[in-house]
Amino acid sequence: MENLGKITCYTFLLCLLQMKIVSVAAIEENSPPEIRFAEPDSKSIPDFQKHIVPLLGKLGCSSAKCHGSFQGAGDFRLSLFGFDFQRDHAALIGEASSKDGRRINLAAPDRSLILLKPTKQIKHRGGEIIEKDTWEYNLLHRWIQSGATGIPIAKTDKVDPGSKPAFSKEGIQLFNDKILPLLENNCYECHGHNQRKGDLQLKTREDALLGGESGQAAIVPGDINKSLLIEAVSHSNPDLQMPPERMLEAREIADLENWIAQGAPWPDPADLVPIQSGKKLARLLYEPKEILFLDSGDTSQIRITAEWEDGDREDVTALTRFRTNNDAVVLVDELGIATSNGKGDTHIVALYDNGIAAIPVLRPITDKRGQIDVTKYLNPIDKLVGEKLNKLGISASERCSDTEFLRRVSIDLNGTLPSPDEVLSFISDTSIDKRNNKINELLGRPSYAAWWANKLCDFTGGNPASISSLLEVATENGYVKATRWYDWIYEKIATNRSYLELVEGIMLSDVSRGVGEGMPYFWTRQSLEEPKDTAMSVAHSFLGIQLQCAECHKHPFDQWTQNDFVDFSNFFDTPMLKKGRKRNAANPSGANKKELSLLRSHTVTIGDNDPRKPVMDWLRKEDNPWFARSFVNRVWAGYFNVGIVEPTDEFTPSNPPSNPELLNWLTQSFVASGYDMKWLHRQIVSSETYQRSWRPNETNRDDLRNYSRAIPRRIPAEVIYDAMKQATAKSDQLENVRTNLKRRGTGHLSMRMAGTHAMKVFGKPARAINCDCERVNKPTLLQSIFLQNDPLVRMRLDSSGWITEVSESNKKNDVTELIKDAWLRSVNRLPSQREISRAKDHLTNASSTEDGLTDLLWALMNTKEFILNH
Amino acid sequence: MKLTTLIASLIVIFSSKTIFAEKKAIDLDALRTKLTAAVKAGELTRKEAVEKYNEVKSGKSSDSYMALNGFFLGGKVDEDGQYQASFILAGKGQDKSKWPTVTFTGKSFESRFSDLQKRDAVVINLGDGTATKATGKKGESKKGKQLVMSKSKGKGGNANFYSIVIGRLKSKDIELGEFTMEVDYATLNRYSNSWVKDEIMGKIVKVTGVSGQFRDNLLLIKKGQTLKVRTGGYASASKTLSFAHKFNVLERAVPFSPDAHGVPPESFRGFGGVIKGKVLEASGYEVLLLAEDIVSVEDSNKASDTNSIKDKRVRISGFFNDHADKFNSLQTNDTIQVGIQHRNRVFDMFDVTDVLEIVEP
Repeated sequence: MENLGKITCYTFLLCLLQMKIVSVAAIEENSPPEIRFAEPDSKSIPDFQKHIVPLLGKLGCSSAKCHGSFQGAGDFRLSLFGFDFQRDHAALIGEASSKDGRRINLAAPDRSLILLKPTKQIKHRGGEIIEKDTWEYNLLHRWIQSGATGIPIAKTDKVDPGSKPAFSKEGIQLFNDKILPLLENNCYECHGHNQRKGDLQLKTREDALLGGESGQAAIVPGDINKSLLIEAVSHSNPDLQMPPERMLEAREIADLENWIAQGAPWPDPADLVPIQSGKKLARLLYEPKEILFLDSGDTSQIRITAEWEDGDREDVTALTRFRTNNDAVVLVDELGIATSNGKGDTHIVALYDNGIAAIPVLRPITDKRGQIDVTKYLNPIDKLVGEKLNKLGISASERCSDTEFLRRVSIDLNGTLPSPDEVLSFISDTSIDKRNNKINELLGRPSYAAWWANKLCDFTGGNPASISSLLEVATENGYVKATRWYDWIYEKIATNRSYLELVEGIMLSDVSRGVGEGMPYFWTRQSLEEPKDTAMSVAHSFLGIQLQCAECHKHPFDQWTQNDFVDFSNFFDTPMLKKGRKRNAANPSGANKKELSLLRSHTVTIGDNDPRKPVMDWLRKEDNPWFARSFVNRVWAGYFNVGIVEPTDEFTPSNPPSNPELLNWLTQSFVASGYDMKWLHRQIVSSETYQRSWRPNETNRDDLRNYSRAIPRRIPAEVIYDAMKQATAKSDQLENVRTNLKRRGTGHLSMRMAGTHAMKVFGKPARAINCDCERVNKPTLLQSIFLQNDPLVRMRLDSSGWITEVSESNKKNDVTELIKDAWLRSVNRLPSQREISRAKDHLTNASSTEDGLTDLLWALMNTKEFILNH
Repeated sequence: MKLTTLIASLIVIFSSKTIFAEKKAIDLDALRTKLTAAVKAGELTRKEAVEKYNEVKSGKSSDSYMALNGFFLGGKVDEDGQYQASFILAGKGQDKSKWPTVTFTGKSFESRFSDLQKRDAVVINLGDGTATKATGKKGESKKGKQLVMSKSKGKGGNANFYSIVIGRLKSKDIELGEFTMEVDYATLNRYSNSWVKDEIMGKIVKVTGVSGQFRDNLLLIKKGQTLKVRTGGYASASKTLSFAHKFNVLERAVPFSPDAHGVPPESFRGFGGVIKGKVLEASGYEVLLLAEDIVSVEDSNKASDTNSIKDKRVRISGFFNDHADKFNSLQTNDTIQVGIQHRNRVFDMFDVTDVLEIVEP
């Protein structure tokens, strides 16, 4: 019995012990890496994708200024921001040039360079990055100790294995270790990336086999003597010596010869771009969902959890990179601790693997939250803006005056100043609906179509120079075509065709024909040399997203990888779009059949049909995440100085909207309206939000993003040009000045005036790049100097039709009326008594009424009130 | 109204375009129109046309057949949904730019002309509104004749005129990028037609197409001041020069004198050799050089007095290809030795040859 009791007791203890072990293991597996690897004897095995790559990113190893740079550092190169797992793993396990050994030493993990260098046990130009025996050190050590495995290669189904020659593992290794770096360092400046000098590209094996303009293949697999590349690098032919600056070393040439002799092994393109690991990140979860601070110095710990597609979850806070979108509001450290730094709202962005989380942070401006009664508003815009202001404790400014409204809405809707008669008529109108009536009147004017056609030409890149040639200066043909581009859009807006229809006219236009139902010049621009240029232009123009980062590396603050970029570019790699792409045009029919991911929305198989069609089909889907939103946001930004997403062409998860509910409502309603542009404009400018005064109250003085007041904005370059003309024009010419498209800065002159001093000073975009930032509306000192002294201003004043008219009539006897007219023409309001008095003094002392009026107009055109839309 | 008067007026009215509407029967109006076009095309004399008209009108003849040679320009549906087929009539002995066009309007023409390709040579029957492909001569391709609109080699029309034109500003419109100037001189080179120079010298011509930053230059030049502008082409009818689309020049200049603008003296024309001088301007692959010395003279030299260029300006062009790098490094006031050749005595510019060196002054 006693023994039995002992056995039972031992069994019980053993059970307890086993339970404890299981429990410890469970804790170890589920706890975050900084706890799991806190001790050097951790049993857990780190994962290359989940732990090693994010850690190297967080420590800065794969940053652009370190090993992530194009050249790498210290003979060690990682992919920028770490998303090329295959190559990064190869780089880590490959041989290092250091005499101190290998980067990874499986036999003696402590002697691995990736541990010795960052701990500065041996020389490291990057300094000491981590300390020995910290969790980061232990994690790296444990990974090496456990075999330093990478991630399994998951073959994509895009490449038919039978269509490609099979290469030995050693051959691919030779390419990766020696040939690719050699090409990158010596050839790609002219024959890689964006360059195709001599029509030769060396980025893919197919390109190298095709050769350049000589027609001879750069490499002939297995035949060194026929490979032009060998002839070029050996400098045996005086007319063909590459690279031109220096001759390669003998060992480098030998490597090339060896490689070609082996059949020029080259990894599948699918292997050269990021490959999915066995696990794919489904989403990043974060806590808290929103951070609300009350006082400066308050802190909040952010926790980030990665959820993988197979359901695995792990706290990856310690491996996550954090950044604040506004350090005047909140600071965040590397551990994810947010610290309140000021009043307002912003986001903290968390980046891990391919996931991005934006955590809202808010600290009320005042403690008077919820003061605005949003139920009183009929316009949903006002309700949604009011709700956000309530959260921040901001009170909205009062309604603006009638004259302020008229000037503002005329500039914003029509790109023009109101005429003196219009101002007088509006302020004497006593009807309740006069603002709405004015909005409808302005929406019916040709100048509405003119101004917004000009803006849409900005967004779509209607640049006369790029249409006609690659020269900086456009040809006459370029101006003619740019004007047709403008007129085509003008007609669509004037007849209130839907935005969808307008974009369809561009997207599906027949590039073999001239302008008609479609607008083909978007595609035939000389600046769109390669499919990737077209892809970036489409993404910018119609989606408000910037893809260019992903051309070379994973986008640092967005989801886009090189795979996404290549796939989207391939939609536009079609002979019908660009006759210049002769290499692809030569491909037999059907050879271009490709299965492509359409910016991660879905996969599309394209072949001989117009590949733009599936792109357009996707744009017109109501759940397209960017198409309608980006346009709505751009229009909104035109009225409020900043977009709900700002910059307006950076729709990324790391740049969330300042008022997501507002953007959602506007987008959904715009789509529901049938993409009716007039509906959108009317809805915005008839809101109380738009009609608020610029005068701040004590709560909203610093508010620039929540629309609690109007933000005074410098009027756009073209509008300034027209406004100066308008202010000085003869009375009976005023209407012509406002309506003659051929002579308006917002009309046809928009194309011809780009590049002039006036337009450069006031930031008119040349439409040469894919960026809304090209238009600059910021005030500068040069603008003040321009308005004071520029010959154009002098010319306007010296040849003023109005002053001539005054001179030739008996109007000059009524000085008060002249003063009022000057105010109405320039700042679009009647002058105060004090202003009249001062102006009278000046006119009385002037050598003549004409000279006095010239001075007066000059002075008015140099006021902030004239130059600003307020 | 007499027919002669009528035809004369119709020629004016239909000088560039004649439009035929679809009709089942031929009436006198239609006949008048086709005769007018035939006269315009040179197929008939005016006298023959009048006789033909009178014959039909008096009932002496019912034959309204009128075959004209021409070329098919293409068909399209106009804004009203009507099909239009256009032909150009081959005017005998006329400049092609002045050939008249005729247009058939009506749905039935679409099928009638469906087998025609653009620019096919055709025989057009104005009477019944048909057009058949002209039969090619033996040896010609099956495709038959094709219309080739080559540039007129004679005077008039539109012509290339890549030139520096110097003159005084008469008026300007900076918004439209246009101005007028009284031409004092225009340089000639291989890319400029000499007849244009003859036509514009001393005349007031319009220059169009000024854009971008060159409008700023135009803004600063006052009426009466001398300017120089690089032009690209000339339209004789409107006496309009177009602003060049590359290597743009539009700036204020000193009043014209041959030396100031690098027009070589007669005795230096035909020179071939190497000269030394100071660079005054270097842009658009051209150099304006202040000649200091003659370094050597080639056998090909035809200048009667090579030293006549000393202390004078000479304009040299062609600094691309092998000279491009060196040209790009040239600075104003550099002293260079340069090989030049005057290939055509009419031209004002010299071509650079193989020598180009920057030397110590």
